[in-house]
Amino acid sequence: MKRLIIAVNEETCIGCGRCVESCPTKALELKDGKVRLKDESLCDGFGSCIAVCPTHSLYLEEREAKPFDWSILQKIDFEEFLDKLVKHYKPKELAQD
Amino acid sequence: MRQWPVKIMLVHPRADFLNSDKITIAADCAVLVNKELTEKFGKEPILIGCPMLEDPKRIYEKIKLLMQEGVFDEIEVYTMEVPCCHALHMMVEREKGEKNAKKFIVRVSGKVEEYSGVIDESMIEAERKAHRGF
Repeated sequence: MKRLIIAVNEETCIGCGRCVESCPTKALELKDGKVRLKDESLCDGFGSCIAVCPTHSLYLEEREAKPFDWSILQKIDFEEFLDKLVKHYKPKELAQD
Repeated sequence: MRQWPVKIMLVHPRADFLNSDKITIAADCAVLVNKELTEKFGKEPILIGCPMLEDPKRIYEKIKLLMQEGVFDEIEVYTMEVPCCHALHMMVEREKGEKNAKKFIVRVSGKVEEYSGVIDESMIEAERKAHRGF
């Protein structure tokens, strides 16, 4: 199916891993110093990772991809969710990570 | 007006106005977007907060205290449909104990729906729209 999904500009990605930390569905990983999508079905195309990228290397693209696995959202971990929300409330802390 | 404060963070867990069979906890936006909720103010206890733009851990601690100290048996939670609001439902669900908690979401259109507790695609889309601005 054609849908919105995360994409990485590997030329500008510095491999800092902030997006990996911020993704609620753990869709991203670091490989050889660059971030990459671990599995298409883990990315909902929501883009919360885009906001934390210091080099603007993440963007959403519309392309053929595996559908998102909606069952992931039934298993949200409470503590982890609050930790991610805190980063919205205190964005400076995120920058210091 | 029978109640003040209105913010979850500011209210004392044993405040007089909480002596009621039912209280409502609502996301800030939900109260403004849904007219019926706005009109509840002053008639029954409503506490409001934002689990994303205020410290969610402090909101959670206050909700925990409210659930421990409160004499009410029933609690209604109204949030916007966006997934960040889901945290308010999770907090109440975790701490409700024997109390009866009901979940509702306010769509961005203002319409209220009972909430199953599971985030679906329409809710994600509402937040995407908020982020991109159209």
